[in-house]
Formats: sequence, structure tokens, C-alpha cells
Amino acid sequence: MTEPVVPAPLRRRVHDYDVLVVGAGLAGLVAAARAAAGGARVGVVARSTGNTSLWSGLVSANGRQPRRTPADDFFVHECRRAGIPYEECPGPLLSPSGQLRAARLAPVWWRSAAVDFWVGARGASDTAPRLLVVGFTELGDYPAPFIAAQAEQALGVRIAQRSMSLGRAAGRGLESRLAYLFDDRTWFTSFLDMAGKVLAADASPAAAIAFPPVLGLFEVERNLSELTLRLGKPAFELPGMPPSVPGLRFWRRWRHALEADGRVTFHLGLSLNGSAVEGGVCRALLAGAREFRARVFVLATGGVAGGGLEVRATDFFSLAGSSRPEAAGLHEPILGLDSAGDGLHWNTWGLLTDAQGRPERAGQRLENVLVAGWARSGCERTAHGSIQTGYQAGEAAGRLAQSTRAMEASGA
Amino acid sequence: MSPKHTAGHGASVGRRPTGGIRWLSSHDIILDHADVVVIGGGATGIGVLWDLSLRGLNVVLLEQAGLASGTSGAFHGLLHSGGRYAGSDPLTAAECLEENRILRQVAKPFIADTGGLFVRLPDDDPAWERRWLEGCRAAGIAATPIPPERVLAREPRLNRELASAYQVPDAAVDGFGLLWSMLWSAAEAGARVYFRAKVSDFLYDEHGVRGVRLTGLGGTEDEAAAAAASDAPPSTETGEITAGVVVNATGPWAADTAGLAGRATAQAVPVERDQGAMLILNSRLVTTVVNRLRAPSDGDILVPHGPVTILGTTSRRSRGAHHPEARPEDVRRLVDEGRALVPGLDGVTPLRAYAGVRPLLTSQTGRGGGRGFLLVDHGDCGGPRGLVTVVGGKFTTFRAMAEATGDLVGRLMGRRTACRTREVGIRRLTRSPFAVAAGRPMGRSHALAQPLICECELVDQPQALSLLDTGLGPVDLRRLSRLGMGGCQGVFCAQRLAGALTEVGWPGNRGRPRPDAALVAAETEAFRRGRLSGVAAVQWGSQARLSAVATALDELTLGRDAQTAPPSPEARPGEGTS
Amino acid sequence: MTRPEKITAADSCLGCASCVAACPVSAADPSFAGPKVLGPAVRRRQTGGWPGEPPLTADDLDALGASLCLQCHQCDLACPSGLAVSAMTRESKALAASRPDGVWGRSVRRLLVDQERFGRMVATVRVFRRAARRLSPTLTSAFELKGLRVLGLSPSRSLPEPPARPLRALLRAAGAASAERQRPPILFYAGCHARFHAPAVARAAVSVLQAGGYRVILPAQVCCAAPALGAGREELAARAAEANARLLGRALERAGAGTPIVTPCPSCTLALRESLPALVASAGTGARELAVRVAGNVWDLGEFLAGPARSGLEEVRDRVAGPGRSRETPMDTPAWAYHVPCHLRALGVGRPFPELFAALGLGGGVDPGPAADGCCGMGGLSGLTREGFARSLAVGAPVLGSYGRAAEEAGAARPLVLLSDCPACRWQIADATRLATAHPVEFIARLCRVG
Repeated sequence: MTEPVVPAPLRRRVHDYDVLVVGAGLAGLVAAARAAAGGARVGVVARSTGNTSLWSGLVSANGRQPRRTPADDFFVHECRRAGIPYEECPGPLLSPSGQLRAARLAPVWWRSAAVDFWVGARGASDTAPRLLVVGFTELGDYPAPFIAAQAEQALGVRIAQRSMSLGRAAGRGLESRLAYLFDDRTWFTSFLDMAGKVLAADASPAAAIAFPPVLGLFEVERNLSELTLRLGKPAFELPGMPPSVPGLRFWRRWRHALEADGRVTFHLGLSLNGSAVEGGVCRALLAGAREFRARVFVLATGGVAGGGLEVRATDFFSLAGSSRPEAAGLHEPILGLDSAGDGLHWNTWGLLTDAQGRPERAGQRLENVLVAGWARSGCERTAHGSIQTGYQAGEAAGRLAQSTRAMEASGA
Repeated sequence: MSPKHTAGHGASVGRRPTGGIRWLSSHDIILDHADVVVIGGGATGIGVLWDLSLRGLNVVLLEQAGLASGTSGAFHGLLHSGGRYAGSDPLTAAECLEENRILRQVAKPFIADTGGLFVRLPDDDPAWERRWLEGCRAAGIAATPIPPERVLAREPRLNRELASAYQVPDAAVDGFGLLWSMLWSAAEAGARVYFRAKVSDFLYDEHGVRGVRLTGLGGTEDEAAAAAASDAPPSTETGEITAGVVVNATGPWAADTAGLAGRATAQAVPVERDQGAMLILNSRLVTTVVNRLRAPSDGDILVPHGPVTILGTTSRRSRGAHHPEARPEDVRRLVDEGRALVPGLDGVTPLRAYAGVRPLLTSQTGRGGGRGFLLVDHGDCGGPRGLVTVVGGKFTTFRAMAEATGDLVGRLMGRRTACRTREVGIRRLTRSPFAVAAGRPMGRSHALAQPLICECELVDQPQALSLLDTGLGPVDLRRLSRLGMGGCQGVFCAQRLAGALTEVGWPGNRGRPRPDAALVAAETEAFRRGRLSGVAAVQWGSQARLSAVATALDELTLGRDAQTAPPSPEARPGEGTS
Repeated sequence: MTRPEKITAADSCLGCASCVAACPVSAADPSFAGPKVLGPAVRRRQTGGWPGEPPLTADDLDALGASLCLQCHQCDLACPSGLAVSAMTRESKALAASRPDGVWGRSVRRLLVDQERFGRMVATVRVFRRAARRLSPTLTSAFELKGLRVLGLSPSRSLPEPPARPLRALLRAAGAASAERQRPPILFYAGCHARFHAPAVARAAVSVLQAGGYRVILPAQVCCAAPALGAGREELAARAAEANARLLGRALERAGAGTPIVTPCPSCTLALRESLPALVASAGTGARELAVRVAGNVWDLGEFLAGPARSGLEEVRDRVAGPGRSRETPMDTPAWAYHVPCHLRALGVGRPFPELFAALGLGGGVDPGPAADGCCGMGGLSGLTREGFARSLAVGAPVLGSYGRAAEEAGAARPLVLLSDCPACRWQIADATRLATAHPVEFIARLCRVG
């Protein structure tokens, strides 16, 4: 037995990082990954998984298709590392209400889901349906007849639909439940047989087959390729309603990849309720008795939709023009930062920042805080916007942390 | 004319094959005959239908939109004790008290006996309290004084400064369930009900009015209401219903309806439209109905209504008759006033706001006036014989209005009939008597089943399907089952609802040839938009978040923007449209 | 049972179902209506729907599968509004639990849920049992097994070997009480599992803490109330909480106000830290203040070792590694995988043991993949019963399958050891995959050559 050492005096519950990212939605994850890639010790503090379970999984863009950015490259690289490969999407996809949605990036298994691919399929006759939309009777959120009829109207081509039951084992449930079932190898084998029988007749004239986005939380790629093989037509998923399995897949894999090799430490389920700021520098953020210190802080707390900005009754009434304007901005609950936006269009609201993404508090800039995602004013309100600003903030935070550390070292 | 008519697919199953409910499209031609035609499917019209059915008369009810889609669908859910009118109109107060007593007996399954409180705050005029107490005494309302500390023990959220408090027998009432149950019971007994049916003219013979000419409007409830309000007739196809007496129970539309028989006839219906907004808070802030003891004004009633609290109301002249959307300034007024009753009210999570149009008698305009009702025998005052208008009043007194109307109709028809609505209890019908499929019963008489179609209000799928299967639309389903009335306000379940409508082949079960995906989409969208329009006026706290999430979901996931988004002023910087 | 603050919380639920997507029971079992329904929706609808409609009954909640909730708290971590979904679901569970159900299932659950009584029973029996074993070991253990099976314990469950000596005796032998007075004190809250069934874990924890330079005190303590809370038995939970607040509060007074209370079980940490003050609320302000003080001092063992005790352990490790060996050199260890218990996730402390392993240079870790990153299905004690066993395997299938595959990949030559802080997780994974399991502190103890 070894001699005991005398421990350092007991400290408060303190966590200390180079970069602390607040928020674990898309922007937060990208910022954390980017900062970690720069060599920083990164912690993530978040209430939850952000709004990733409401996200369709498509990286959409603001109407245009801008050139590929370093952020896109980084995102694609990290996705591959996490085992959820994203790539450029060759065209728009059908939404769960049968409308067309453009996407910049999408998981590889959405490659053939692009409308151009199956609408313009060679050999397709004008009378035969181009697409077969498959629904599961157990999944009320994805009504195939409704979606097919809507899509037919939107596209002007014939679209067939078929609802099939997943059998007794499935029960009724939300998307996440079915995704779990599809991960079960034994069950999926029996499903393949069932699908082969039930869908064969409808599948043969169609150019492609669309399924609800529930074909496995972890095994989707394998399941789709086996379905394609069995049915003889390209099978793919279409986006669905929340809770979104593609969002869930993304989040589970990214967290795992960032956590498993110790790149990022996650503290979930915590609501921050205080801060220590001295002369334009944030020293720590507080969550109850817990103190999170860092050299640089990234706020990826979301806008109004994500809960990073709060609308109080007085804010609403003054913005709606039914009382004298009282509030200059919405309430940012952690640091009390300044915000701006356009009236009642909540998704335009965000924190005011300088070009680098540093916010202000009562007009004074915070030097070591950066804002990412929908929390930032001017961030494009799409997944693309979250990735872009998350990347920027993560990169800047890594750099800033490094220089601060160097300064600390030279000071010591 | 032949009494043959088509009455929905339920006709083949119902105990009396003649009764039934139909939703008319613009192609439907209805030919029918009845003792009485009642126009208007609100509390007044359905009350009259119920009354006349119990008298054994053969009745047809016509409603331009849907059940309780007007005034009766936008009241505050309060069964008055009469206390509210004790200070201003002791007659109405006494009438409310009597009706309150009767309805507690006959409509028990629809009433939550919350009791009511009148509380005076320090700044409220003590003179009004004395006047009010005298009014209560005159009306026979037992207003029992309660020490403030006992009130606060029971209602800890109330203003702790309250000066005095009295208990009265107020209650909360489920108007939708009550009206549907009366309608179903009447239809089961042989009455025919036509929704989306606009009366375009009266039929006459040498004695006077002998029925009505009607047009099917089709569409969703709101579309039908809009079509009814427009001057252009939606269809040239008309039907006729002949009857001995026509009862005009069209509330805020009463003068318009009477006006079909000429301007003079309309002038016998002195009705004015007054709109009031209400705010729903998403929790039970109080367990008792709380009234502020002062001259009736804005924001001074709190009604605990199931899982929510309704704060009412405002009062403003209204031009239109269809229920308007609540405006932020109305809500602000309610919140400002409500804060006096419940401090910190603006920090409580709101759910939505809505507004209704009250048909007030001209002599009684405004809150200072009373809320009595008027029964006009047009034959007696220069108009055509055989036409009766009943207007004014309030939800609490609908039975009394129906009784008086029934008595008059009986006299006009020369029949000796007796009113039975004081004795006959109204069952809470747990399902439509016309349901073909053996669905699960409505309501809470059985344990819930899974899956749930509405996870906020715990509406199970079998229940929803069995109701949709009888032809009810999403909006009717909501009013019966509370579907979409919870936290998400339809944002996450509207798509599922579209699936359920598709599953029952909707609207094939309304007598249409086949399921129609476009109509399903339109109904779903109307449902969803109807819900969100109520959220629009209360966008703070979690409802601001809900609006933001709903917008993002629409724009980014569903791509509904192009199709349905309300017209936006202009493109805004930083807002995604892709 | 309606508490106004809970209603206020329920009213801000958006209904987005993020909690359902995160719920391992919802994923496995369609008869479970999910946290969104059983939490906020039921709480909001408690008083009924339309006026005149009756309020929800125990039968309603049973039909919604309320009793299936495992109280894993993953819903709390998924809620974008930060609602305490699991606390609301627990109330639904309690209401559903108020209806009568099967005699056998009930009896074993009652017994296990009341760990104090169960533990005392085990202790009393121990004397007789030791004598009986001397006469006929096979017959005795067969008889004991039979007894538990009859009470409803699943026949597929392995049973821990009853410890020969109770924890206090073990610790006394290890010199716990005789440590030097000048060292900073620590109150060691062992938890029922270590107290009654597996004192080896407690012993390893105490040794590591002592090696780290602390004086370890074993205060009087009772069950943390997590099993009772999980079963919806609020009264039993409240009794345990009041006793703990009193006992630990007194120990704190003696040892000094800032003394950490360290526990090796994340479920105990969670219950003591998050539920204790709420549970004693009815016992008066004095008790509540005491409970708040106790709760504020509770540390998860990993959190404590990776935090305040880290530098001490690093020194120990350096000394053990011997001169010339840097900290970066990995130590010889078997292949191991670390499983994050749900309740550790709920504590929001990150993953302290893997962090500590990295700091101490412990190599050999295996990544079993993202699917392992979930609930093992045990749900504290609910997976022990006959009816709970199959369900627990279904809930835990993705996790258990991942560990099974990882074990196959590791091969027989270097068998995988599964590390987890939670005794229930270890039990479940051992039974389902036949992997060897250990508390990570046992690994640290070996690494530091203590205990």
C-alpha cells in the first residue's frame, strides 16, 4: 500500500475549459467540434439537445446555392468521422406536406431522393407513377395518401402511394419508436419479406420508392440498400415531422464522436443562471452551485425558437404596437446581452454582434464571448446558417483561447 | 311537397330513420318539410330545436357554418349566477339565477360546480358593493360574505389586498358538449340538421312565411362563413324547406335574416353587435370563478375551465357578425386589468386569445344595459306571419329563450304543447348516434386507449376516428374532444389529423362520392391556421417560442410558406425562405 | 396531489416530443404513452377536460403505461424548455401505482423498493444462513433462491453472492475509522448496494479516497429513496429522505459544514442532490434547511475524484508507476469499455471517470459505438422482477447488443471488462452479455495499488 498524499484544499464545483460552448444544437455541436479541432479543451453546457429533434436533417440554404465554404467542408468531414455521411444534394426534395424543399447538404441516403432524379428517370412512361410513397399505418405523422396527393399537385406527375402495416410488433408510435425497431436486425429481415410482397406490384411501374424517415437510428444506410436490392428500385427516405429521426441520428452520432475520444465534455440538463463578468471579459458562467470557467465562451443558445431569447409580455405588447415601446430588445437570460430583430417576426431576432461575432451588453462589448447559430443576429435562419456561424465561432474561439493561454503563460 | 329527404348516412342506422345531420356542398339540393324550421346553429337555435323536439314537433335546423361557430363558440364558458348583472340589471340577474338552477339539474354532465367569488379590491368603489348587494337581494342571489383570509387560502394567487369577498353559485360550463348532445338527441328523435346551409329567402303563401329557400355553401367552416357574408350567391342551386313556422335564431345575423322579408321586418329586430375578447391562460390559476366586484368592465372575470383559465372580456362595437380575431391591444387590456386580480398575471404562460360577437339589443347597448332577450312575432308587428325572431340573451339563459320561443311557436301553430326542458335531463352523448363504425365512446366514461392522436389533450385515435367517421370535421372534432386545444395548438399534430381524415375516407362519409385529398388538406390547414391565429395575439413566453418554432417548421421542413403563409409585408433580412 | 409549481411548469410544454425521442422506454414499448403525455400533458389535464368531465383516474394512467417509466431522466435532458419531465411522470407513476395489481409482482417490488427493510432482513438472515450453509451449502442457496423467485424475482437474474461481512466491519478492517485526524474529512455515503450486497465497491472507493489523502467517515445513513421514488411510493421516499437529512445533517455538523458527502452510486447522488429537499418539504423549515445543506454537499465519487482529488491521485499514480515512467505511458490494463449510467448523465457532470482515466494514463479503452450510448434497460430495480426482465432487455437492446459485439471483437485473449458507476447497469449488462463488470473506482484502486 502506498503512502497517502495530502490533497489540495477542497474547491467549489468548478469546471475549467479553454472553450465553453453553451447550447448543444447544430451550431453548438459544430462550434465545439471546430474549437476542439484547433486543440482547445472544450466543454459543452446545455439544457438539452437544442432543436435538433425538430430539424429535418436537411442543410437548406437561403434560396440560392452559394459556393461551398470551409464550414461546409468541415461539416462534411466531421459527419463522416461521426459515421453519418453528408454530401451535396443534387436537387430539391419532397417535404412531408408534398412541397419542394431545396437542400445544400443531405445524408448520402437522400442522394436519389432528389426530385430531378426520379421525375426525369429514363424509361418512365407518362402514365406510370414516377414515385411510390410508402406509409406505415402505425405512423400517423406520415400519411402517405395525403403526401402523395399533395406532391402530385405540386409536381404535376403521377405519384402512387401505399400504406402498409408493420405488424403487431410495431404498435403505434412516433418516428423514434419505429427507427429503433428498424435497427433490430431480426425484425428488419421479416420486414424485408413483408415489403417485398406488399410493395412489389406498386413498385414495379414506379421509378423510385420513398419511405418515411424512420428506417433505423443507426442502421439506415444498410436498411435502404437492402430495400433497394429487394424491391429493384432506388429506395430512400423523405423528411418527416418532429420528433425527427434524421435530427436524432445526427445528434446521437455527433455527441458520441465528440465525447468518445475525449475531445469534448458534455454537461447536459443544466440551465445557466448567472455569470461573472469583469470589465468586458466573462470569467465564468454559473449553473446553480456549479461554476464553468473558460478562456472563451461560445453562446449557441438559439434564438426565440431555441429559447436563447425570451419574449416577455411587455416586449410583445410594445412590438405589436399595443403599448408604448418599452423594451429595446428581447431578454437574453444568461448574460443580459443586447438583441435586435424585426418586430413580431421572431426568427429574425438575435444578439447584436460585431463582425467577429462578439456581443454587447448595455453597449459594452464582451471580448471573450462569441455568438453562433440562430442566437446571432444576421445568421441565416437555416441549418446552413447554424453550421456557418458555428464554424466561425468555433474557429475564432480556438484561436482566442490559444492566444489567451499564451498570454497567461508569458505572464506567469 | 314530399317529406322525403336525405339525412346523412346515419339515417339507415338511427332509431328513427328520418333524423340526421348533413354538411351541404354547393351542389346539394335539399327538399324537405317540417313543422318548424330553425335558422341558426348556436345555443339559441339548438336550444329551440331541443325544446321543440321535446314538444314532439318535426323540426329542421339550418346553420350556415358549423355548430356554435358564432357567438356560442366564443363565450367565456361561465354559467352565470346572475351576480354579474346584480348591480346593473336585477331582472337579467334573476333570470340567470333561475336558469343556473335549472341547468344544474338538467345539464349536470356539462357543468363543473366551481362556485363563484366576487372580490372587491381596495381601489374599487365601495358604493358599488352596496348597490350590488341590494341587487343580489332583489334578484334572490345568496351572496355570502367570506373573510378575505379564507378566500386567499383557497385562491392563493389572488391579490392579497382584497377588501371584501362574496360567494355566489357561478359555475363553468362546457358549451360545445352541451350543444352537440342536444343536437344529436334531437336528430335521433327525428330532427334534420343541415350545416353549411345558407337561407337565401323565405317562401310565402297567402298566410305569410311558409318555409325557406336555402343554398349549400360547402367548404370549411370559415369558408362557409365567408361565403355567407359575401353578397354574391355562391351557387344557383337552391333547395326548399316548407314549414308552418320559421324561427330566426341567428344572433348577430338576426337583423340580416329578418331583412330577407323586407326592411321593415328587419327593423323589428333592434340588434347591435358588440365584440369581446378573451384570453386563455394555460393553467388553472384559480379553482373558483372570480369576478371583480365593480361595475362590469374589461378583464374582470376569471373562469377556471378544465385545464385552463379564461380571462374575460373586453367590449367594443363590431361591424361584422362573424367572430373576429383577438387583437394584441385587446389582450393587453385584459392583462393590465387581470393583473389587479392576479398579480404577476403577465408572467403566467398564455395559451391563446379569441373574440366573439355578442348580439345586444339596441336598447341595452354596452355593459351598462341589461342582457335580456327579445322574442318577436313578426306577424304581430307588421311583418309576415309565421316568422319568429329570438335574439339577445346569453348562454346561461338559452333555455329560457327556447322555452318562450317554443310557447310562441305552439300558439302560432295552434297546438297545445308543453315545454319539457325544465325536467328532461340532457345526457352527455359519448358518441354520435349516427356512428356507423363501432367506435369507442367519446368523453371520459372509459379509460383512455392508445395510441393518442392529440398528446396534449389526451384524445385517443379510436375516439377521433369514430367521430370523424360520422362526418364531423376537424373543427367539430376539436370542440368535442379538445383535440388541438393543448400546448402545441395543432403545430405538431395537424399532419396526423390529415392522416386520420384520409384514413376515414373524408369527406366521402359526408355523402360525397369519394375521398378528396385537396379537401382534407384544406380542412387540416383551416384547423391549423385557426389554432395559430389564436396564438398570434399572445406571443410571449412559451407561445412566442411556439410561434417561432411553427414558422421555422413551416418554412424549413414543410415548405408550406408558398401555399398558406399569411401575406408578409416584404422580405426581411436574415430570414430564411428556403 | 397537485402542486402548483408543477402545473406552472407543465403549462410551458410546447408538445414538441423531443422527450419522447430521447426516451428509451418509448423506443422499445408501444404501450408506453411516453414522457410528453405522462409528464406535462397528464399534469395539465389532472383536473379534467371539459367542465363536467371526470378527472384522470389511476386506470387511465395505467392504460397509458405510466408504470413503465424507468425514471432514467433522459427526458429532462432532452426538453428544450428545461422542464422537469421525469418529476411530472413520477407523479403519474405514483397515481398508477395506487391501483391494485398482481400479488407476487407487488410483493417483491415492495420488498426491493424498501431497501432498508430488505437490507435488515438480509442481515438478520445472515446469521442463520451461515450456520445453514455449514450444514448443506447447495440446499441452502437453492432454498434462498427459491424464496426470492417465489417473491417474483426473475429466474433469469443472477444473484449477488451475499457478503460475508457487513460494510462497517470491512471498512474497520481497512482502517477507515483510524485514519489520521489532520486530514480533510469526507463523509462516505455508500448506498444500499454497497452497504448490503457489494461492500467491495465501497471498500475500493474508501481506499482510493484515503490514498488521495482524505479521512473517510462512514456516517449513519439510510436508503437514498431512489427505489421508492422510482416505484411511485412517495411516502416511503419521504421517510427515507427525512432520515437522511437528519443523519447526514448531524454528520455534517460534526465533521464541518463544508465536508463533502461522496457517494459511488450516481442514482444515490441524484436522489440526494435533487430530490432530498423537495421530499422533506412537508417536514418543516428546519428539516428543509438541513436537507438543502446536505444536498449541496453531495458529490458523485467520479466527480470528486476527477475534480478536487485529481491532483492527489495523479501523484499517487506517478509514485506507483515508479521513477522514469512518465504519466503518458499507458498502464497495463485489460480491455475495458465505460458505460455512462443515465443518472450520471442527469447529474450534468460530464463523464468524470473516463476523464480521470485519461489523466492517469489508463489505456485499453474500447469504443462500443454510438448505440451503446443509452439506457441499459434495468431501470434501477424494475428489471429484476419476472415481468420486468424481458422488458428491460427490450429497452436495453441497442446498448446490450453493442456491448455484446464489442466483447466479441475484443476476443477471448483479452476479455472486455465493462465499467460503470451504477450497480444496476452493471447487473444488467453482466446478466445480458456475460461480461465481467466492475465499478471504475475498483479499477482506480488497482491502478493505484490500494485497497
